Amino acid sequence: MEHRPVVIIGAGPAGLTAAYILSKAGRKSIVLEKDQTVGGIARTVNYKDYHFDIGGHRFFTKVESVEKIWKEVLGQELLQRHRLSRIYYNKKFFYYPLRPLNALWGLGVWNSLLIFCSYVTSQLLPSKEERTFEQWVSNRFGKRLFETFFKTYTEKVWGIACDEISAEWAGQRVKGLSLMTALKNAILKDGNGRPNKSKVIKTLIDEFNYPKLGPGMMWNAMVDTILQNGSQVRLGRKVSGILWAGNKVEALEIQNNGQVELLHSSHVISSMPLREAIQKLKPEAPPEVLHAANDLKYRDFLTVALIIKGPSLFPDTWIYIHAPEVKVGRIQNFKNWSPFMVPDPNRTCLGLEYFCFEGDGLWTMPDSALIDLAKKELETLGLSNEKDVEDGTVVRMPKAYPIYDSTYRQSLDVVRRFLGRFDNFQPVGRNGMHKYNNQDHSMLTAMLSAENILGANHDLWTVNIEEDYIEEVRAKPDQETAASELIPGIFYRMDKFGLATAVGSVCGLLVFLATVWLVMKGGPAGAYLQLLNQYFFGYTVTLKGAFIGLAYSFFWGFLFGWLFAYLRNFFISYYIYRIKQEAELLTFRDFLDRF
Amino acid sequence: MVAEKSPNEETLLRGVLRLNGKILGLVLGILLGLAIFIGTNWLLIKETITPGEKHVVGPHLQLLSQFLLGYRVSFLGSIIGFFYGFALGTLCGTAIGWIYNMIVDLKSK
Repeated sequence: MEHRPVVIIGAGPAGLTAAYILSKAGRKSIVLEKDQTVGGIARTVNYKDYHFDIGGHRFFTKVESVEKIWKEVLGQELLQRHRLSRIYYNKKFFYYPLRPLNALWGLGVWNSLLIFCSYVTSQLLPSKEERTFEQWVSNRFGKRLFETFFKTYTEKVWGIACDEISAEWAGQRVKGLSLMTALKNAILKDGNGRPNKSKVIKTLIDEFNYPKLGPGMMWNAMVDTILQNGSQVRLGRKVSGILWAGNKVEALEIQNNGQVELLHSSHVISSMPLREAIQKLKPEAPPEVLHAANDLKYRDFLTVALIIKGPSLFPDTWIYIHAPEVKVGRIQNFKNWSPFMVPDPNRTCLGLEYFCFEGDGLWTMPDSALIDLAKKELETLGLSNEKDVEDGTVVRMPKAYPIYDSTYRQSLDVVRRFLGRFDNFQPVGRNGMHKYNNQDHSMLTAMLSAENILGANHDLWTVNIEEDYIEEVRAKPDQETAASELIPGIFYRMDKFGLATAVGSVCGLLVFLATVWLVMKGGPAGAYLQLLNQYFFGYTVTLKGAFIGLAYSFFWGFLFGWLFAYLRNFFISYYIYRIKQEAELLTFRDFLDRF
Repeated sequence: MVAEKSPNEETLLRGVLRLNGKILGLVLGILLGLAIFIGTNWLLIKETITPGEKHVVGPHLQLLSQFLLGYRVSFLGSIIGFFYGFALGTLCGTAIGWIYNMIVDLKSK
């Protein structure tokens, strides 16, 4: 069976990466892609030499092997870009995390005051129940800020009311940086000895790599290497059946121009949506597995790319549209991703992104109507005039995001258990695994699947999708272990009574012994020690005075020790609170990026 | 409730600090030893730079000799003082650590 090729379903980042790794190892593969272009949801569309990206794909990762591939494939064609992505609300731009002066200016003094009061209220009297996304965010940012900045956008993206989205989901999305990690970041130097964690975090978030002509450049270059190494990439091939028997996938049924072809394979790597993969099994999967697969849902989206007169409309790479009066959710400014994306320096190309469900009103709207809608909304937002829009096109992207609803996990477990029986079938990528993988994690799953075929034994489901772009400072492993053991010791609460008693006892004993010593020995120092009675009324250098001195010193030592422990605990708590707040704010920005 | 804390985090927020008596002793010892050493030599240097009438240097610090036998305001005395200070500081620090940990243990039982 080994002489048969490996068949890879889907020519997106995951599928192509698997083929790339296999081809470099001398293993032949055939990549099947149903569309006429490669890249999947990370493709680049070329419209009259205007290049645009579907959703905006930053090339940023903390997975070294993925970064190595990017650099290996594109080298100098990979640009280093600065990120600016603000929230657009009420015809004003807001930085996120919010900057006080910017927010004050944008929202006005009165509104800012109300938001501040609402924030203070949420901190003092948080909602005891944290069942919904709305309660979860309101407890952290205040109800008013939630309604101003988060409600509309979240509802636009997911098409569900915020009080219907579970808080668990929000918690999962924001759990990227634990308190322990945040503290570790705060006190450790990174692998390169960089000491300033805030600078490190900021840099990693605010800068990313991007191919000169969009991500499609990466996938095209990968295809070239794959073909040069003797593997195949077949476009326009739709998998209509996955034939299996026992614990093996035997062959794939492929449709090409109305003809059905059977392709036998040694291994199958599939990046097709998991739901579809199960639906296409022949013979049919057991009913409970089919039922679970049918329960996996997706959010779709479409981009309306507009070519507009003017060299620059705004400096952002993309903006989040929180304004409730329009349907558009996000606007990409492709020229700011890479100046090479737009051929005419006097034109700007914007991508207005609408989140929808396949078959709903937006999805089925004719392209011309969508372009008109995008033009109108751009004018409503005050970002451009309708008359300045010269041209436009629409790209629909089905199944862009797997939906994490309340039942998805159970259903996914059923599907996973069933697929686990196959020795030679590996699901990879975002839709292939119904996992909210970003491009780099999708590629990583594919790399591991290829390595499995070459003899390794990786569990693809353990690829950590929760690793966020809020980068942890990479300390050396031994430093990391030491830190994990050390940190609790540093940040534990000090027992106030314990320290107070200890310091009081030692101080009391010192004065007592010093006094008794002088009483026994005599000498000129007694007169000076006697001066203590300026503070300790009744103290003398006598045996009785020694006891009085002991009591006084114990009292003051106790007070000093208690105060020291209290202040130490207070400042440590405040420090932990700040670190936690900062981590939460930063992860929340990543939370917006996840959409 | 969503905001579940990891076991590590839980330990972090609920844990009570324990002092390392030896280290605390060492630190206090070094500090006190250095205080006497520098305090003594400071008086000696000051006297060398601005010599006044012939008198006893550091009469008040000299009183330490009442407690620290063999100490005097001289360079050799500063070294002797350092050792005395170090010993006393170590003793005090260790005692503070020991008493503190004992109380923490008692309270946690």
